[in-house]
Amino acid sequence: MQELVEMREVMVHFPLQRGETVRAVDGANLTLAPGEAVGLVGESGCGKSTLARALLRLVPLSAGEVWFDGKPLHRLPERELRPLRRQMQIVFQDPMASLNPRLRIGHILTEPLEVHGLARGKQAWQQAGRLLERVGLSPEYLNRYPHEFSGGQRQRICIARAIATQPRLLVADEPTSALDLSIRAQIHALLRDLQRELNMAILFVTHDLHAVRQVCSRVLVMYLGKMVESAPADRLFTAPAHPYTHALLDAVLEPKPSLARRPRNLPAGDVPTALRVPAGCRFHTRCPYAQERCRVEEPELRAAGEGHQVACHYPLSTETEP
Amino acid sequence: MSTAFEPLLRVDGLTVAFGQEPPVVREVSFEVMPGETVGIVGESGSGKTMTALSIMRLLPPGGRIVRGSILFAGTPLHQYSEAQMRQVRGGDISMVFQDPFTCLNPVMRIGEQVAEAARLHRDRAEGDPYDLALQMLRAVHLPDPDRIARRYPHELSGGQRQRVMIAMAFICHPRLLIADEPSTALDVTVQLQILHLMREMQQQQRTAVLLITHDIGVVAYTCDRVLVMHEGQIVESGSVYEVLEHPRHPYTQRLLEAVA
Ligand SMILES: Nc1ncnc2c1ncn2[C@@H]1O[C@H](COP(=O)(O)OP(=O)(O)OP(=O)(O)O)[C@@H](O)[C@H]1O
Ligand SMILES: Nc1ncnc2c1ncn2[C@@H]1O[C@H](COP(=O)(O)OP(=O)(O)OP(=O)(O)O)[C@@H](O)[C@H]1O
Ligand code: SF4
Ligand SMILES: [Mg+2]
Ligand SMILES: [Mg+2]
Repeated sequence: MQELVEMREVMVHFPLQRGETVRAVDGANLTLAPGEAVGLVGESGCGKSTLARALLRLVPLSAGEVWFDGKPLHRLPERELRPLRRQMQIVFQDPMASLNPRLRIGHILTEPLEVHGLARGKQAWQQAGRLLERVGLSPEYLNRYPHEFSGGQRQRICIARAIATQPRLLVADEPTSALDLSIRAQIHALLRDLQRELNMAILFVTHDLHAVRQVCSRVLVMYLGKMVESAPADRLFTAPAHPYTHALLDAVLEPKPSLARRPRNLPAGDVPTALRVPAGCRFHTRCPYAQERCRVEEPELRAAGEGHQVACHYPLSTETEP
Repeated sequence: MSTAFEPLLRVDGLTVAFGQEPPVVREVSFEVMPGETVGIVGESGSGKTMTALSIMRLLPPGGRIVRGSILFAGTPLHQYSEAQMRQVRGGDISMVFQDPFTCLNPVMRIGEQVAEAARLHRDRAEGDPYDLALQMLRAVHLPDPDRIARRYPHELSGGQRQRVMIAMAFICHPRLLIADEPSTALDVTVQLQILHLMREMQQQQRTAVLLITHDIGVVAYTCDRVLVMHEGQIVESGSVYEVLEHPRHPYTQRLLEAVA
């Protein structure tokens, strides 16, 4: 089957004044099958948002390729990109910032329908009402303004707008980090339902490993601009192969004291910045298993079992299944 | 004088309101024993920060304590003048916020800032303030403290800035540390290092900690007791083992289901 999205060796570098360069995304690979929900995790500043924006061509690539449905986004002119835009939508962390406060919800939702010529007038308005219902809100809200809603309701509205054009890909960049715990779970359930019903692929960017389990079937782990591991969600959580993934999982604090207080093995030191990416394996400055080879030779992503890839010279568990 | 068996902090019937609006903190009562770590959890807007700011007497303009008392080591903070409170803040009670940028002076070198805290709240006989500052920067495990001391806040990483905040909070040997979301802006692997560090400093100095957070896991990991706030009130309190393993109040149960 053809992949819906394929990103190959993508780099996004930001030059700074003093001749320094931020290597925000630094040779990342990513594939998404049609209808697949994939989680993208990693610590703050590792390049998740920049990669997501590069995928939608919202930020220029410094190098690499981005293919969407067999089309080379990295070399399409804006004119040819426009019809593809309705198939790729994004939802951001802060719903208030992405909703125009002066527009009624009805206008916010009918706009994409009219722009892409999918419906107009009364018909568009009715369709907007159905979209609201689909995300769990009353169609009566069409006449209200964004400030009349809670944070969770606003994020539902953003999701309704994103699915208005029936996209094949939804990028959700930390859609629930600004929301309360109780509301987060509801939004995650909504995303998962929509993905299944609409057969829509989701790239779910988050810090929250718990959320990934609720929404995604596969997980990508990013460290300093590059993928270090890719695995089916079940496998990643039970048998992580990369020492960084292991540390990330081990740092999760369980909500019960009897579990939270178990002994842990944490990596020492701060996360290096994208201005000074270490040579060799980029995790070697903090890795408890680092050897001499790790300081000089950068590990490539390679198979570590069924659907499982890892970029490490000495992975933790690589038993290939029979 | 308080003893080990008397609470260091006793908040009784605290009620806080803005103007004529309904109170945002209602009849809140709790105690913190010397050396104890008490967590406050609850959803956004439940009144956690306003409770903490009442103790420091730093409520935002328009906010006031309508009723209730705050006894710190037996002294009534709610009756203190602003001049008296200035002695307490950063001395016997210090506070760490979520965003170190709001508390660090952007145009002052790190070493100077930490030394300034020592100058204000430590006895000159204990040593030169700058030396005390360097000792403290070493104690929070900052690499190469002499070099870091000469840098400005924006030249440090988030985790390093958080360590500096903790150095500043502990340099005056506070008896109570109030930490409002101290680690949420950090990476998970660094967050744990910071929580460890806080506990290490707390044990050395026998400091009591009031820890405000959204993160139930952080409470489970670090606190002795926990208070659950909902709409300005404490709906449940007890040891973390009781409350987090066997919640009784339906609100606590819902809060925990969301993370289970
Ligand atoms: N426009 C820009 N100019 C310079 N540097 C940038 C720019 N945008 C991002 N960066 C840097 O690129 C790196 C990656 O940033 P990015 O926002 O992609 O991280 P992230 O993984 O999404 O982090 P978070 O989890 O905090 O959202 C960071 O070091 C960031 O400071
Ligand atoms: N300056 C202010 N004027 C009026 N109301 C305020 C002000 N500051 C806070 N409030 C209100 O007081 C209530 C409690 O706020 P508080 O900041 O204590 O919540 P919190 O529990 O700390 O929430 P969060 O987890 O989001 O930090 C909220 O309803 C808030 O809207
Ligand atoms: S390659 Fe070496 S340093 Fe990198 S993660 Fe693997 S063991 Fe650690
Ligand atoms: Mg981001
Ligand atoms: Mg608060």
